Amino acid sequence: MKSFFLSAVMLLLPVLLLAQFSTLNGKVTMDDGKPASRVTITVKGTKVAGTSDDNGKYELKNIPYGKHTVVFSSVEIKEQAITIIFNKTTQALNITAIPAEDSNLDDVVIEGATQKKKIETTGFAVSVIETKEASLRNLQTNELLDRAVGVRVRQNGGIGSEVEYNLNGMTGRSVGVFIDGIEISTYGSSFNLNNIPPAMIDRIEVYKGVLPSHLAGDYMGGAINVVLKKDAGQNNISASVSYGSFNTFQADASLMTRAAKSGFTVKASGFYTHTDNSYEIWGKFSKFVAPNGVVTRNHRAKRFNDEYRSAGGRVELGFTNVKWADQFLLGYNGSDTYNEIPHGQTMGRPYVGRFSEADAHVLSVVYNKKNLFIKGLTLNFNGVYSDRNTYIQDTSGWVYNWDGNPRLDIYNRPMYRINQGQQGAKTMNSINRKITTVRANLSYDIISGHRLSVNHMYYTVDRNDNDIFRPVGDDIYRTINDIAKNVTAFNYEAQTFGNKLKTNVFVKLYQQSTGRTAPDIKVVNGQTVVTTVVSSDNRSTTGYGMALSYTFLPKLMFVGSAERAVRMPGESEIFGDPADNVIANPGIRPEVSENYNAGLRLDGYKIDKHRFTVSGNLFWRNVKDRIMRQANTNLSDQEIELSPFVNIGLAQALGFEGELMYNYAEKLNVMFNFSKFNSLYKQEFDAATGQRLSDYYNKQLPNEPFYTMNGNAQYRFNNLIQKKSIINLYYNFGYVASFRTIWPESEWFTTPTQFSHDLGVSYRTPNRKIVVSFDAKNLFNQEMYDNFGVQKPGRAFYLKLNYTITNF
Amino acid sequence: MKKQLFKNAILGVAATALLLSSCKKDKDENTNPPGLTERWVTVSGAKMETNPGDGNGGTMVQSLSIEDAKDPNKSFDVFESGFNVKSQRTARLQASEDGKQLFNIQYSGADGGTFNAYNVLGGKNYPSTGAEVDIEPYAGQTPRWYKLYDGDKTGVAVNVSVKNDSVGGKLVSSRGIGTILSLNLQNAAISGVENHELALDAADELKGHFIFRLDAPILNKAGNKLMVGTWMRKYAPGTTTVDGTSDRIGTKTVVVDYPSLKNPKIITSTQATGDNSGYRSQISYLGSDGYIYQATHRERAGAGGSKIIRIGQNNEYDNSYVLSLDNALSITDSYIESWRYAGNGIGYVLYRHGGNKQGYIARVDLRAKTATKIDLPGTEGLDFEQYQGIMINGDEVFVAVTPTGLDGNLYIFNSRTNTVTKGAKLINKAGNRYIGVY
Repeated sequence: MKSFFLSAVMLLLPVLLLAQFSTLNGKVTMDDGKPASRVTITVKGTKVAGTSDDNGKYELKNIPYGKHTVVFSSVEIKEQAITIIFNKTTQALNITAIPAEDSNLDDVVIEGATQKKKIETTGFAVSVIETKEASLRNLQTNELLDRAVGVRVRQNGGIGSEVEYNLNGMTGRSVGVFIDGIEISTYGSSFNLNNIPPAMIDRIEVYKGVLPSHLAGDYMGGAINVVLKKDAGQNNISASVSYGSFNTFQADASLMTRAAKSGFTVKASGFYTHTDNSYEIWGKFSKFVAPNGVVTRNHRAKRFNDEYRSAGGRVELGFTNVKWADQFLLGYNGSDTYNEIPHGQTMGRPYVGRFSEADAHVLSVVYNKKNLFIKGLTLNFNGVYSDRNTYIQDTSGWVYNWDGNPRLDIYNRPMYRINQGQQGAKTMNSINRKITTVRANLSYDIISGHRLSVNHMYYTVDRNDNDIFRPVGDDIYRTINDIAKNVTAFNYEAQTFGNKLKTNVFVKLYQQSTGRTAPDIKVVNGQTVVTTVVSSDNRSTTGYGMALSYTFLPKLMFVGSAERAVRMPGESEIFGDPADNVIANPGIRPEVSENYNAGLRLDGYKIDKHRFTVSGNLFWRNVKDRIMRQANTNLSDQEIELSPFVNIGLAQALGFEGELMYNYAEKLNVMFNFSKFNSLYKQEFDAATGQRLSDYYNKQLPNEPFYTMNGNAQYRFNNLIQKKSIINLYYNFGYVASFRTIWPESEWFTTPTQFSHDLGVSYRTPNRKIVVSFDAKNLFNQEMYDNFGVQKPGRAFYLKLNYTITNF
Repeated sequence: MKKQLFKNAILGVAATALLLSSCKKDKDENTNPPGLTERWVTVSGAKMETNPGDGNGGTMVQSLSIEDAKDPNKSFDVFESGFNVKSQRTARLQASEDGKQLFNIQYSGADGGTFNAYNVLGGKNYPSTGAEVDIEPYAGQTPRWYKLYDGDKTGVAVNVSVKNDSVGGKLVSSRGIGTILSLNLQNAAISGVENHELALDAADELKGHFIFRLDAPILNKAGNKLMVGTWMRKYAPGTTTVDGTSDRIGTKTVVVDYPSLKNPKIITSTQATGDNSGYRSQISYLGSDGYIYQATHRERAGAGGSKIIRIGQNNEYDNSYVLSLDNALSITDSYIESWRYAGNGIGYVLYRHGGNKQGYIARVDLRAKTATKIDLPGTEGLDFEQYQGIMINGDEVFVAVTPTGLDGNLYIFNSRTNTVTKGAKLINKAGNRYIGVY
């Protein structure tokens, strides 16, 4: 394996040519002084091309000396061609562009590489979700992700409930979720994909399997990186409110402003979400138990005790695009959540009075600078400190039915469990976490197209649990957990063969140490004996891999990647998390996997007014000590309330995903994707005893959707009601094939096939300030499940109003 | 590829629609196929979870025709071709007298304490029937229960919680609080629940004795008293430290009025000191002579082993009667794991002795107070600890005999003719064993 990588590196080493090259840079400005972004700049007769960034700036490298014509084009500007003689290593060219006529819009072919396309062609198995459209509609960030190829978002109920991400058969914490490269758990449950409005997000990158080094961490299933809006080039205020079914109210507002001269930048945004989640349920687990014990299933009822409230704000102050920094921002992020917990892992037993409160105060500093000290040296630094509190209360012993009333016993008295809460023993548990995350990335362009980088990630959590239902003031009952993690990645990126081949080779070093001080309560000879157990663990290991892409025809590209990845058990997997019904498992071991991806991508293939993008990706994962939520090996515990994460041994996933996008005359957009894989249990014999372990060798792992499809269509009407107004119609469907939720075959424990349809419409006024949108979700009121035993919302309607002011 | 996918998608929709409509149908349909009169024989097997023989991997059942069950040339593998019964540990299964229904109360786990019934339709065909009943709030997640021999009308589930009373921080007494719950099996629902403080003699309580568990309820011949077996425990006085060495006190039965489940009375045997709770099977039977015969177990080593004692129609122990298995078989420290009364004063006992796990079968004559060991081939490693179901069909007594992890056979003992017949072969899997015939 090692020699393979070595020879690969040798092969791709740069072949230095003796010819001389020039670099052209500058800025494209509109005639009104605003920067023109996403302008494609090409040098005729060469393969050199580039795009202007959000500030209108661009840079083209490797332009051979001599006389060339540079062409500036974009949807928004009239094409300009300028002829220049290149005879210096660096030359500058600033131009002023003239806006294109609106009527020309249909005729312009967009050839500029968007951020989406750029990332999707780096060799990693990645898809990029643009949120611009979605932010105007009644969509949650999670819903948006769920529609992406190979992504399955599994939510334990309505808005605010626990969410798990499944990327092509990898799940749980093996999938990293980041906000601007910072692990999302740093921000806590009060600032996560449940409540960050798409309006705050620029784009979401979904990496499957192999991760680029700037997201280096101990993840193996891939990562979801939410990139928040950075664009401070334009002064901008936007706000939206939305209201819909189940008393769901959402509002968000954001402001961005930058002083052109000093570069002083202010970005502020806030959101508020409230919902009762009072949707109707009628599935198998919706029960009514009569006083004589007789259970009626499929009891139609409205969910109760499921209110969710969340508010948060984010302020960043600093300087952008100044001499000494491209970005230097100090930020504060505060959020607060109240979440009623309506049931355990399944909805078998309704809870009334169990709730959690969470708040987080997060301080951050961001610094990045290209060409720091010397040309080609880039530094990115992101440091975050977070103080998070979670409080869970559950003190009521009354037993409830799904009709919302206390359950009656055989003598028609309300049932009460002495010393019990809704889920087991009474609890008033405060969990405090102090999290520090630092990510630094230093890269150096040795010569154009060859970059070396080193990335270091440090993550530490100090966690302190204190339940006042344990004897007060008695420190022996206190649990203190610490975890510290370092991941260092070395990376070499190269673009060779006339930029046709892009390669990325990396090595990652992982280290993690945990410490736990917890009470061990035992009954010895009838006496309760409490001993304080101090345990610690330190592990380190190495991973490596590579990614490449090769363009063999202008629009046809191969992408491939291979990696040996390691992932350490996460804090909640080791120490448990009562808010998400997770039991501690201090003995859990790291998971190691080999990931391989290979795919083809045909980009923007055009016949007349029809444009196609087709991509397919084959993936294979071989996992040792696979970590997953414990699934039952027998048929009891159908109404489980709590469970731990466990190592299950060897597992393998082999699958395929595909995506087709079609566009007609920039009016009709159709997208279809699917993902299907076999995720098999591969542990046949016990490593220690050689004994055959189970009947489940080579069987599909339970509780993982393995066949999903998504499709959507969008049609745009111009000038329909008012001149220059835009109406968009949307349709979306999601399909999940039925899957087992426990190890043995059992009809009872198999989720049904799910097929849901959504419709939406939005209207943008001619002045572009107001967008109104209406969405209808789960149109046919299907019985939907992500997790077995927790029904998701049925039909729902939402209305949203967006208001934007630019250039005030 | 795309076409195929869409096809699949459409099929999916169609299948969903079909599923939804067929679900509705199921409820109205009479699940009993017409013309079925034969006696099904259900065999059950317990799967291992972590250790061989732990039985915690779930319970599988399969129904055979009585001809197949008796045919030594047939072989069956419940673990390969059976039906998985809902339960965490070995399911506490009971069958209707005609073998056409199985009753189950899940034992331990999140759904422990849930009753449901299955129709027995041959092979792995066990559709659920009737209502599901949740008795957990009364009887807990680990209720012990038996069907009464009242024509499959009633089941009784029992449970005990222990109340420790202290005065000034010092433990003065420990006492079992028993719950007795009756369950209507014909129209599944709870029909009665009573809680009773199970006080012993003050002197015994002072020494630390208390009723730790109830099990093995049985109805007397008159049908007006319910007898519930007990598992006794003793703490060292003033503590909650289990005293496992002091002498035991006389075997006790809790007697309540039936069907009211009220007026508890504790009766004590002078002939035995073991428990009469059984472990995972019934241990008390109403004899054809009107006496209730109880097997005891968990006797102290050297205390004379398991006995069979009896309660008369006056609902008091007949202390003039005892059958000592030690004496009858000339062994020591015998331990009856399970047994069944087969009529005419004859019973079949599954037992071990001398502190070993090895299981044996003997035929006992309750009238003559004698016992004869039945020698069977290939029974090395046989362990009846979790054994639950001995089936009676006329004069025939069916027992599944499989050592842990090894193949075995069904055996049919004729209680009248005293013959032994080898029945169908039972294929086993590592760590598993067959635990019942119903």
